[in-house]
This record gives sequence, structure tokens and C-alpha cells, in this order.
Amino acid sequence: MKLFRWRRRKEEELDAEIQSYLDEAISDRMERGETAEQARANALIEFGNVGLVKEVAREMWGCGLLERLGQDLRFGLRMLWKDKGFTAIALLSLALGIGANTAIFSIIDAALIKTLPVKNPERLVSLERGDVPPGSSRDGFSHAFFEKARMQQELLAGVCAFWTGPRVNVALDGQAEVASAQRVTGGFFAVLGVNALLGRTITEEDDKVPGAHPVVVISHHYWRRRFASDPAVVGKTILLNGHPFTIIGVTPPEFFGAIVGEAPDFWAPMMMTEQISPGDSIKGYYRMGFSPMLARLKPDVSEQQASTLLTELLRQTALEEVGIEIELWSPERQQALRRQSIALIPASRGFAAFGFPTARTRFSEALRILMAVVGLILLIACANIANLSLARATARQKEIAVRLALGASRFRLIRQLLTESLLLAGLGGALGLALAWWGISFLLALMASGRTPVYLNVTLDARALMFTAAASVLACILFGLVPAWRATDVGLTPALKDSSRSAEGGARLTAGKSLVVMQVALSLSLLIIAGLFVRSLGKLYMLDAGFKKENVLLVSTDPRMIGYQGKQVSALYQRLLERFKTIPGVRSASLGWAGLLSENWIKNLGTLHVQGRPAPPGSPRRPQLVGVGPDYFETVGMTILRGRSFTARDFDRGSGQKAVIVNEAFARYYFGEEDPIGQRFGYNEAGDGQEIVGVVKDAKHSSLREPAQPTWYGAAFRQEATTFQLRTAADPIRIIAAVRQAAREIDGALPLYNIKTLARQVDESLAQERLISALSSFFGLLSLSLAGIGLYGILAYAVSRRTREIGIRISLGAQPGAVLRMVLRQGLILTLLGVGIGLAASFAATRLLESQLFGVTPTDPVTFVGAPILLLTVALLAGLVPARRATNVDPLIAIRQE
Amino acid sequence: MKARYQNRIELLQGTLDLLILQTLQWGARHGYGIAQAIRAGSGDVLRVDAGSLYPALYRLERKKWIKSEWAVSDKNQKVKAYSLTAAGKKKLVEERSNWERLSAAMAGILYPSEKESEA
Repeated sequence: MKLFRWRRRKEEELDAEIQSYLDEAISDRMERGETAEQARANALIEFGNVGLVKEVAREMWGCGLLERLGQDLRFGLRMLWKDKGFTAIALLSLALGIGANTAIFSIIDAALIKTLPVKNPERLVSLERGDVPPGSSRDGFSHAFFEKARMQQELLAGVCAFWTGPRVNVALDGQAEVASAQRVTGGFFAVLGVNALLGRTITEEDDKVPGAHPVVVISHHYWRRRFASDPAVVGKTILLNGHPFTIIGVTPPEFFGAIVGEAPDFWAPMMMTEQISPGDSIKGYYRMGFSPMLARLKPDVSEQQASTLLTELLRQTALEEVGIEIELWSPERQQALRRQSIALIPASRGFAAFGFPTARTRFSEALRILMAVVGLILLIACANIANLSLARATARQKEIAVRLALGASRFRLIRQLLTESLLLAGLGGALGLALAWWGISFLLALMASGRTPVYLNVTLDARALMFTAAASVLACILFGLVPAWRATDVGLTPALKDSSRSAEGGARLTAGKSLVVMQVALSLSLLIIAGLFVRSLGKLYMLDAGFKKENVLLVSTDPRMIGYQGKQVSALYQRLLERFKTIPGVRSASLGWAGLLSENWIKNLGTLHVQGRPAPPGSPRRPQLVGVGPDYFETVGMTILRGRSFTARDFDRGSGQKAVIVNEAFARYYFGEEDPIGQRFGYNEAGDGQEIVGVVKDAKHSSLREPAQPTWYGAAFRQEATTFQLRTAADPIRIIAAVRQAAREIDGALPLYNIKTLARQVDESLAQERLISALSSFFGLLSLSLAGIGLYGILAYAVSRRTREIGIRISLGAQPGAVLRMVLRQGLILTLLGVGIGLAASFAATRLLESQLFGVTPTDPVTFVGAPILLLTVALLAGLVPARRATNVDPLIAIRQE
Repeated sequence: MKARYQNRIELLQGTLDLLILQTLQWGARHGYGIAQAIRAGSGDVLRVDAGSLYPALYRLERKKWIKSEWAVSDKNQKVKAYSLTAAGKKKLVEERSNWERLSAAMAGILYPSEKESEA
């Protein structure tokens, strides 16, 4: 305000000063004998351009730059307000473009780029095997090696290992629920350098003796969700699978563990494995090996030094473990043992970079494609705004010419026009940020709904803000500079005389036309991408998965969490099954050890031998085993092709020979065209133990995308976690309450989890596909409408410029149909040009998407014909309005107009 | 139009400041007065247009070499009169000696024979 008043005073002074200058000059001239009129005119001529003098004088006032910016902004806002239609379209497309880019960038940043929120993440390394001795399939490190590495103090500040899982039944204040756990060795938090937000973290002391330290550290989100951020949570006792544990601390909010994409609810010491994970023992883990293993290098220690030391330790440990027996080994095997090594991989971004099926590998491909898609959308939005600005600039030609004639410099005008663009970009960016906020939660919800949920710590932080700002400025330059340059490139005289007759429009129209062609080409590419994904998703849904997903409810449970052991478990399952069958609306019920499309597989059963047959040629395949209960195939809707299904007798443990059912892939792999019924196989050299009694149709167990693996089904009530399948007469959602009630009647403490329909399970297994196709269709349609707007703009503008010509044509006898065709032809030519370019570009580029497609080729004919037809239809519609306007031109008015 | 400007000499960068300071040496003047004084003093060769004069005046004022106040002119009009400050006087002396050195140097290059004969 003060500045404003100061400025007004200066302005008044300047006016007065110039006036006095002129007065002095006039009276001077009059003294010399000129008439008052002459003197006045001459003085003005001598003085020159008053406006320009004021302008250059103002520049000397110091804060002119800021002052002018304010002026430009005010003027820009006024111009934008005046042209509400343009502003609305520009802001909407910019907001969508920038918002989508910010959202996808934030997620990519969190999943792929950001380092872990820990102390000096760049000093973290993960231990990987370099040369592995042949025959040793173990990818983990032995316990002895882990202890050696942990004890050495020279180069490493610490070493730790951790295991994800399992689900744990948490009972607190009489309420039970299932939560996710991670077990860590004592050094985990120290190595990562993560301190507790409340209380303390797990230390080496907590991880010395099996079962001795029942303590857990809970994550911030679990603390908030389950304990309502109660600060008194430290010291509380909770029951994990029935064992009392003490909460010793809460982690900071940004810490999600060392695996990006996972979000454990709590961490417990490795030594508590037997309590946390029923049926597991620490010895089992010692045998399985420690992996992943994480180490922190001491300052000034290079990776090279550390890997040399660790390799030495590894070889030494291996020799000690083998001991005297090595004398019996072949020289090659001895050498291989002595040659094994350790490679250190930077782990500053956490795990997942190497083969872990987590956020980084699971969604990274999808995210990259989406980033490209939203980048294209932003380009299209920019082209659209540039196009509209060009048309607007022509409408403002007179204003600009007047300002140039009054002495405004071209630079000054460009700056004014760019300020308008910047204003648009800024507003668009701000709106985009709001959209991004919404978009991120939408995307995160989608990613967390997958069959293996992905949790990411995404916040709109400084990096995202910087990205948004950069995108906005880039957009502003893209859509603002060319129109501004062109708009100020005005031939003064013709422009002032009459804009609509000047020849300038030609060049400007060309620029607009090429923008429209580009827009059409880009949006065609987007439509094709969207089309390919939508068709892939359709094919996946249409696919015969081998089971009937409709009207099936899935319920998972694990009685071991509440203390059931061995035979008690299978007995409970039998009782539950009988009880579930009596629920009204349930047609049949069964249970399966591994759920359909659930990723719970035990694949490593060893080598399968078929009685009396050599192994099939080629690299050996290891069949999957699915343990199923009675009526399994009937319940999930799988068809027995030959032989029989399981009968009650097959579930009787006493009978020596075990009847099994194999799928088509299994039969084909081991028996070719022969009848597998009656054949025997096993995991012993004799190859007996299992007798094939039936062949079932192939069903997709692990993924809809992959062909069915050779699988055999055994009749068993396993004594582990299981999933019940209930086929219902109507919507399975309706019986959920009854199922819970039935389970409570049998054991009130039994935890039930993952209650959902089989149809939803299928949906969830396609989370990534659905994400890509939904977003790419949305953006494809958005780009289609932007291209339509662009075409409409350029044609409407062309018609308004050619009003006179059209009037003459009509007065000379042109039929309305001919005029209509003339305008439509212009639009069609532009569209066809764009379609040609877009088709060529897509043809070359869609190959990159191949790995994400299913059932369609990257040059799918349906898509490559359908998308251009859709685009041409929209182009025709966009052209129809201006074309109709052209036929309605009244020749008399049009010709007289000028 | 063009003929009017043919006798004019473009002012060297920075010399306008010196001319203004010099013009103000003998007392306060208003804008028009300064322009007229320069024009008359140079025998109509140097004409300072308003578009150069006012930016220069504001620039000098910002550097605190001149100051301004509203006054009444000899033609009884309200005018803004500029006068030298103490800093401006010092600057004038400095600029003058700079100019003398420059013109001596220019002369040395343009008329080498005279220089030799002097030596």
C-alpha cells in the first residue's frame, strides 16, 4: 500500500514535470515569434513520445521491475478474466496435465528414486553372492558366516538380517486381529540408524537367547491405527499368537522398513521366531540361510575393502564348515569352494532393487509407462493452449499493434504476454497440485489393493513441489513463447487498418495448423496405447482361467496362531467345513492349502520321478503341489477331464497308496499323449507313493498371464494356514456374517482374514493391468477431447477469417453443401495428417509395451483401425459446428462488412 | 525529418551525465533549462531529447549527485529544479579530469604530428 502511494506521487510528479517542460518550451517558442498553436505542435514534436519518455523515466525509479511485474500480473488477470472460456479450458487441461505428472512422479520418486529415511543411507550395502559354487543352490549366508561378519569390528559398523512375515494374530484388550510382522536380528535398527520415536528399538541384547526377550517395536502407522497414537503405549503387553509381548518402542512415521513397498506393523527379534511364526524354528532359519543381509560400512571404508574382507571370511567359514571332509571332494569342487565371493550392492534405496517381488519390480514397469503417458498428456495440453493462444493473439492483434505504435517495445509486450502464460501455468500448477493430492491417494489405494499389497510412503514434499513448479514453467515456455513471439510480429499499418483483411493470418494459421496436427498425432498415440491395454485387460478377463470365479467366497485362517497343533488343526478344519456347509445359501464348501491366484506356493519339493519312466527331455520342471479338501474341484468349478475326483476314502490317512489328481499340463509334460490314469510317481528314486486317479482341466493358480504350470493335487487336511472356499447360490458377500458366526461357534478366538470373493481375488491379481488400462483410457479420452477442441478452434478461426470469401462464393452460387464440404475437408486434411504421423509413431513405439500386453500384439489391428476411426469421428464432429456456421454466412453482410 | 538530425552528434556513453553535472555547476536549473543550456552551449550541435534527459536526471538523483525541489521559474511556472549535491560536485571534478585525460589521449592518437613537434 505504501509502495502504491509512493508510486502515485512519483507518477504525479512526473506528469507535472513533463507538463512544465512543455510549457517552458512553448513559451520559449512563442517568445521567438511562433504562434501559440505552432509553438505547441513543435514543442510536442521536439519532445517526442510522451508515453515512451515516461516509460524510460520510470525505469530509473528503482523498484520498477517489481512494479511492472505487478502491473503485468494485474493486466494478465484482467485479460484472463475477460476470456473465461479460454481460461477455463486452459486451466482444466493444464491442471489435469500437471496434476497427473506430479502424482505419477511422486509415486515413482517414492518407489524408485528416494533413499531410505535413515542415517547416511549411502553407507548401507547389501551382501550378495558373487561366484556360487556349483551344486549349492542356497542363496542365503550361513549362520556361522553371519556371526563372523557381525563380530568383526574393523571395516563394518554393523551387520543385520531380516525376514518378512508371517501374519500374526494380535490380541489386545480382548480384541483379535491379524497384523504383519518382520523378524530382525539385533543389529537391524542400529545398522539402519533408525531411532525410536517413543521408547527404544530392538538391540543385540534382545536377540541373544531363543524365546527370552518377548519384545516388539511397532510401526508409526500401526501405533496410530491400533493405539490411537497413545503415548503410553510403551510398556504395554500384547498377545501375539497367544504369547505375551511387551511393546518397547514406536518407529518414526517415515520409516517403513528396509523393503520399499512393504509396511510391517511391527518388528520382533529373530530369536522370538518360534513364538511369532508357529511351526518355525530358528534352527530352520540357520539351515535356510540369512538373506537378505545388510551391512553398514564404517566411514572412509570403500566397498572394495569391505568386499575383500567379507569374501575372505566367507571362504574361511565354508572351509571350516566342510572340515576334514574336503579331502574327499573332487579338485574342481574344492576350487569352487575356495573361489566363492561376495559382492556388495549399494542399498541406500533399500531392498527390492534385486529380484524382490516388491514395489520396485511389481509396479515399476507400469509406472514408467504411465509417466510417459502423462508426459504426452502435458504436451498435448500445452499444444492445445498454444493453439488457443494463437487464435486469441490474432483477436488481440489490434490491441497489440496500438501498443507497439504507442512506443511499447516488442520485448516489453512479449514479457506481458509471457506473464499471462506464467499466470496460467501458475494457476494450473496450483490446481494440478490439488489434483495430484487426490490422484496419489487414488493410486496408492489401487496399489495397496493388489494381491500382494504395495505400501509406499508418498507425500507431496519439496521434491514434488519442485517437480510441479518445473513442469509448470516448462509448460508455460512451451505454450507461451511461440504465440507471444508471433503475436508481436505485427506489420503495423495493415494491422491497424483492419485485422481481418491482413495477410499476416496466413503464417499464424500455419503455426496453428501444425500444432493441431501434432495434437492429433499425440492423442492418436495415446488412444492406441489405451486401446492396447484395454484389450489386454479384456482378454485377461475373458480368459478361461479353469475355474468359475462367480459366487465363491474365500476365507483364510490359521488356528496355529491360537495354539492349535498337529492333528488338532486338521480336526478343527473338518469341523469348520461341516459347519460351513450348513449355512443357508452355501451350495458346497472346501478348503485348499494354496488359494487360487494367491501366490502361496511351495515349489521346491525336489525331483519328481515317474515310475518306470526316464525324466522328460529338456531342463527339468518342478511341478506345483496343491493340497485340497473334499469337493474342491466342484466348489471352485474345475472340470475333471478323465478319471475321478477325490472321495472320502482318499482323505483317510490310513490307506497306503495316495490317490492324486494331476492337471493337463502335468499329464502332457510327463506322459505326452498317453493316459496318465493309474500311473505312479513320487519324490523317491522308485517313483512310487502317489497314484494318479484323475486329470483335471488346467487352471491358472499363480497368475492369469502365465500358462498353467504342471500341478498335482493331493487330498489332505493340511496342518497349516488354509483358505476355505464356499460356493453360494447368490451373492457371496451376504453370507460373510453367517460365516463369522459359524466360526465363532466353534472357536471364538479363531482369526479369520482375507475374507473376499473369488471374483475380487481375480481383480486383485490384475491390479497393475487395471491401473494401467483405467488411467491410459482416461488420459486417452482426455487427449481426444483436447484434440477435438483444438480442431474446432482452428476451423472456427479459419471460417471467421474467410467470411468474406465464403460470402462471395455463396453469392456466386456455391451450394451450402459445397461450403460445408470445403470447411470439413480442411479439418479432415489436418486430422489425416496427424493420424498418419500418429500411426507411424505408434507403430514404431508400441513394441516397448509388449511385456505389458496380453493376448494382443503391439500392432493389434483392431486397435490400430479403431483408434483412428474414433479420432476421425470426433474430428468430423468438431468440424461440423464451424462448417455449419460457414453455410449460414449471409453474403450481403459478409461482403459489406469491409 | 532526417535532415534535422544530420548535424547532431551522438553523445558518448556517460557523457550526458557529465554535461548535466557541468550545466548545474552554476546553480539550479529545471529539465527544460538543462536541455536548452546544453543545446546553446554546444552551438546547436548537441541536442538532448527528453527521453534521454529524464532517465539521466533520475539516475543521477538516485546516486545522490543531484537533488531536486519544486520552484517557480523565471516565466512564473511551477517547475522542478535540480541542483548539485556535495557528492555531485566532487563527481563533477572527477569526471572532468577523466574527460580531459580522455580527450588528450584522443587528440594524441588523432593528431600525432602535433604531439611529436611538442616533444
